[in-house]
Amino acid sequence: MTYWKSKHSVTSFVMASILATISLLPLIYSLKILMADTSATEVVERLYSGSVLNSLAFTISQAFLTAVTVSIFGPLCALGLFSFPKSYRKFSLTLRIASFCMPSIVVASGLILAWGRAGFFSKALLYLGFSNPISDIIYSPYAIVFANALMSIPFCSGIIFKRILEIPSAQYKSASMLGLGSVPVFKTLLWPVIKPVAVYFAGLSFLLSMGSFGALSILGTGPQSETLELALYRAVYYDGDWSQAGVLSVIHTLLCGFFALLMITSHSAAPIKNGTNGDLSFQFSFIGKTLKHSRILAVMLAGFSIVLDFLTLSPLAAVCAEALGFAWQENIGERLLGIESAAVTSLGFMLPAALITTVAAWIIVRAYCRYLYEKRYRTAAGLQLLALTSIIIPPMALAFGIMVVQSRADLAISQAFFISPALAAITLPFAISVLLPTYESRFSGTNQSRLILGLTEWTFIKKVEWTTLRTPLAMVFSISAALCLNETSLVTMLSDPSTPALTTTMMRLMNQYRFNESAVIAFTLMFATIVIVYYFYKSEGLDHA
Amino acid sequence: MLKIKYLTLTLLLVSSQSFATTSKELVIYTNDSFVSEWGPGPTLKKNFERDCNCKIKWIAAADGAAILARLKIDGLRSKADVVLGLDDSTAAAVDSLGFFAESGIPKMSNAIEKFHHHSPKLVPYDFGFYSFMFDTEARQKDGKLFRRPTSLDDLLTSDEFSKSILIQDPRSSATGLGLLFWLKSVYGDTYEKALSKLRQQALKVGKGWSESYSLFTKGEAPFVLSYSTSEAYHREVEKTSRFQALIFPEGHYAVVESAGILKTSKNKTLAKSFLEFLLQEKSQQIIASMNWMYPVIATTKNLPAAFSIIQKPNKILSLAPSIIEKNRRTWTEQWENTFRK
Repeated sequence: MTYWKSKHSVTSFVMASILATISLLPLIYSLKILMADTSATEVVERLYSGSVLNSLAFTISQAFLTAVTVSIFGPLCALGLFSFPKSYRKFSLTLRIASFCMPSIVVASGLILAWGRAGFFSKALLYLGFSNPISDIIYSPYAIVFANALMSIPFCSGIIFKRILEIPSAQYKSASMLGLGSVPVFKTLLWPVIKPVAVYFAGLSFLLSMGSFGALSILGTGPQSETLELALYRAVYYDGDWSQAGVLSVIHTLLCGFFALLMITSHSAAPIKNGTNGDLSFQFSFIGKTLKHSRILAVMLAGFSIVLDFLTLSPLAAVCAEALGFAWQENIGERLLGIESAAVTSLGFMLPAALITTVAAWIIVRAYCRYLYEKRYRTAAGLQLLALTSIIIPPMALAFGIMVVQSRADLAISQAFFISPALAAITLPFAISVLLPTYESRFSGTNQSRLILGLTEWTFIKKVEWTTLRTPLAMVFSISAALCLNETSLVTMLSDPSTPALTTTMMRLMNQYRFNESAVIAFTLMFATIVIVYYFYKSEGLDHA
Repeated sequence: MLKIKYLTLTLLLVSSQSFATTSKELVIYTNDSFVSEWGPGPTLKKNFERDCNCKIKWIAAADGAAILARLKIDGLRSKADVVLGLDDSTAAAVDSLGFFAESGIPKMSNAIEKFHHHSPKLVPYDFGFYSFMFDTEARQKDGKLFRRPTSLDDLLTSDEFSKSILIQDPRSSATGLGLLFWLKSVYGDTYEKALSKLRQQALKVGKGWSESYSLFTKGEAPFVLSYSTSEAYHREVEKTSRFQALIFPEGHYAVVESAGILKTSKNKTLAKSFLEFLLQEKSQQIIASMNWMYPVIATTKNLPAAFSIIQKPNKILSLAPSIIEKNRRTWTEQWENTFRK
């Protein structure tokens, strides 16, 4: 085993270590400030204070409710999709995947525009003589669960749908020949596929719901619905209480870390080993017939699916209507020029972050695969651990840590030097999860071929890896770019108010008199995200996500 | 040869930049609504820059509370020269922070004397009264129009107004904090009971005034916590009497907006001349007609006609800064405990 004692293995560790340090160092500094500024008794007092306990309880309970809702309705809405024609399925799947990458502030503002007391649909319902059942939810603490679920259920159901399609059609044919009813088919064929994905997504949505700063800042209802993240933001930006922020930051990190590790170690949504054999028409007709064993069930599932698509589409449609209506009335050119500098700031964060993420993910993934190939499992695990460190650090806590690192913040410096690397650290785990399966499937064993052919490593990278991985790397770049473009909490916390990004400008406009102008930015963000996600989906990156 | 050309070009660019930035820059922290396109900021900036050979750079935050928080973060590294938009609730904290220099502008005998407590560090530039705005076209779930409440107590206790008021979070909003002072001034010892009543009637607690007000004008709720002068804006600009200020017999809490010069400012003379400029008659008229607050100097010239139509409260309430500073935390905690349930 003489190969791969190259610089690249070292580079991978250096790269992963730098990004892990960016994630961890702020936490260490947060702890330091906490210990320096606050006595142990004071920390305990703060921990038991009503506001911290209240934030903690609300954070966990809303995340738990979201996870339960996702794990129940995700599978139901996925099964419902089998009752629809191909064209609708295609539309529905694109919508469901796009909704996951949509900025939470777009969804939240869209919910008010669509379902608020004076929203588009509320007015329509009132006109028809009905009352709006959702407006009461919009102004309650459940609004945040509703918004989070609306972003997670569609994606979860889309993935479950794709997984069900991956079941080899031979299994369906056997079930068909045996004349199995809907319950045995569900138990033996579908449930083993649905269960891991539903559990995985329950965990993922739980983790994502622990943040949700963007949605909460628009749909929040005061102290009753204050998450740890919002409390941390308030402690820094309104109370100037850094010790309180330190306590909240550490609690939030510990909580996220605990649940992230629990999710990673207890379960992963492993791909189906044998893959699909492509006989999709048979699979559809079989599942369709199985569902028809119980007409009520089939109608109910189709109903769930339609309602989900309608609810997912409604806030986005409301944002479009508001933005286009405004553009119709006003000089849209002038308005767009107004957000030009915000777009430049956002691009300034997004492009370097996506580039760092893509390069880092590539270097780390190729080194990881080679360690596995060499059976150096501990080294591989070490590298993986470093690369995934950031998954345990919530973005707001990371941002607070960065403020502490530069001793109480110069936001212009934060914006210039820290935001992009921090965004890269946050998106790295997602990028690795997209790139790793592709790299594994295309390059396992090629190391030996490289040696036989006598290629240098650099020639191999240039001639073989770059040619083969160009599309997956573009996918990684685009998904990282979408995530960075829409990231709200870290950017809000660290960006300089004199040069705000798109997300911060939108939040500022939402907090002013300017609903329709914020809809223009929401529309811009939504359009950019859909374009990126559509590209991602077209490249079949969905299977690896 | 090419290198020399590039070098010359770069030097020219750099020198042109340095020549371009010879005029002084006055950095002003203020609130969003002041510098928005319909606010007084852009016009005042144009007028001041015309005479001062300087540039004004606005840095906007949500409101007075957010500005103060920004100052706390900046500490002594603040790049701002002037802070504009501090009201009584935040002004009380100014002394304890120690960030402000004495303004050097003498106390004026003016319209706010009865309810404003003078500070040598802050210069008042407009004032108004907290009030609930009422949407006269708002309908209840059964389609009937909402009744106009007759008093603060009526608004806070009648079942028909349950989940109908948009208020602001006193932890992040100056108007939200102002409401607590108003309730404390009216209800005194029964303040906590009043908070419980308010809790029943509140539809949403917004982070700041703008957010709540935008929801109100969209028709999401029939009442919003605002200023009595908000009615003048709707009458004058939108030519509508749909949105009206509710004037209650219990009285209304006065709010005075002030500006101050930061100790760390390197342009103190320019900053002082800006504060003096704010108090000139023309600037006061601009502020009144674009910030929709009353001018602090006694002038009625060129004021929007709506100012003479809207009602002024018969009873004006205010609390001393020392009382506010002493009790603010407790009152806010009481609010937080009530609204957490």
